[in-house]
Amino acid sequence: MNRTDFAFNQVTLYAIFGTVFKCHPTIHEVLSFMSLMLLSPHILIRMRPFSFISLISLCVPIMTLFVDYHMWMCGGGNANYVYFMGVATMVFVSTIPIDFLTASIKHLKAATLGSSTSINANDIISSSNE
Amino acid sequence: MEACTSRIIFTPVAMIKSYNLIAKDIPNGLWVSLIVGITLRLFAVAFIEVSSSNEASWFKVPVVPFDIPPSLSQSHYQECQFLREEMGLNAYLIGSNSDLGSFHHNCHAMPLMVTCFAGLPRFGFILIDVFTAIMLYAFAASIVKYPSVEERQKIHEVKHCPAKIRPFYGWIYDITNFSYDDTEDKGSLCEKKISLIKWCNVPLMISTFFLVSPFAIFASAYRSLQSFMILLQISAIFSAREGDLFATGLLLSVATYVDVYPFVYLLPLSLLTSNKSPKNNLLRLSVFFTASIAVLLGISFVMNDWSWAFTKSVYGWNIQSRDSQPNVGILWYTFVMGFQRFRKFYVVLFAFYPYIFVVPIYLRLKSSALEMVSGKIIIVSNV
Repeated sequence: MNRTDFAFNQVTLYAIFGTVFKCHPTIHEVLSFMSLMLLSPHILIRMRPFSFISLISLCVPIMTLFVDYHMWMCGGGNANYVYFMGVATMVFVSTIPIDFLTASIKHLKAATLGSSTSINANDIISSSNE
Repeated sequence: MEACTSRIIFTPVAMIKSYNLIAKDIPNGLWVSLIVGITLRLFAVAFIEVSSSNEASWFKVPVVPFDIPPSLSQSHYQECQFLREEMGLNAYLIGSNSDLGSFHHNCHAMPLMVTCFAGLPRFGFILIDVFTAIMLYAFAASIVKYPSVEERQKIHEVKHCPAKIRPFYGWIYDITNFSYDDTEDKGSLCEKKISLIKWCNVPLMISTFFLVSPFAIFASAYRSLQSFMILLQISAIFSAREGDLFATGLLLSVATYVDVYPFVYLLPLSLLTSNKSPKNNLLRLSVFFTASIAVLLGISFVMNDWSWAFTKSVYGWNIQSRDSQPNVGILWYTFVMGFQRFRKFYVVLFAFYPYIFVVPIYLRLKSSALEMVSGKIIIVSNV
């Protein structure tokens, strides 16, 4: 990683928040940008288990959402089912970037602690550049 | 491969050249993923054609378009083009035109998008997906680099973190798989422990996930341009990492032209380009971005018979949630069921909601982005 960092984490966060909270969100965009989180291992390892549980649980409301929409269009359901599955999807999806942000701040604190120890981060950078 | 930036992505000849260069470095795994992804997309297209021609099919009711916004749907583009060219109407003024009734289904796509993509064949959407997958791979591959042995050994000399901020899932990646032994003074670097994800496999994982994701497959089969938006944004981030401010501004302006949200990337991308003078970079990036989007809006203005009606119809539609179709979000239902008296309040609240996070996140994480000239500090912070 030569220039990755919190700027990239910000991009990931903005992408996920933007796709989740805009007026016309789509699951395709949300999941695609969420996969970018894999590129921040130092953040991912500080996330809490409920994010993983949310990610695994996502398949249930998403599948139910499409089934409910199909039922609604065919006359066997109504908009309330679709809406509540949308709410469940958004709740599960929203927890993940929020936890990612928390983990970013934890990493920031750890990085600050690391750079204040006897070994300076700049030493590593300069030595690696040489 | 890293040299193949997205700077020249819009010039077809140069694009083919750049992807030829990338193709030399594509690993076998990505070739397999590409073949599987293309095959799945072809099957999806065939499935849609068969089910739409069969009247008795259970899948006659299209379910997947539920996940496709009109601003990125080719069928919506074709409606806009039909209104403009066949009917001779301004597709952006129909909703407000009393002669044509009170329905509000006017065009929600930008004029240039309608012109460029209304006639795109189905194969073109598959091609966009392939380019997006390759761009995702190239972008991820530019980030994935292993630390040197000397850097890893320096972890011994770094103090341990407090428990609250210590990572407990280091075993997920092989590069973060260290042991944390508080009983000893110095941390010990484990030999190869069992890890869930190999850092070198992450680019392939991301591109494969994109290629085999059912939402991506059916979005492509239903002629949605969501992948194009992802391609634009990833290309902009990639260009920023390469330090190319002009390409970043151009790609970001095209993405913002289609959907208003991506302009928020200006702040972090200016940090990504360089850490030496972020303010100067932000200024230059803003200038490129503003100039590019001004040109795009100017062309749209001329194409739309010297009228700015498209801005209200596209950006206003995005902000005000007018004419919303059911989607995964919750706003459409809120505006349908909510009291009309409070509509303006909720419109203002929800329209600015995604932007509330931008400045606080930027301010909180900005200092570290400036400090961390190199991502190698990741090693230091993994204690």
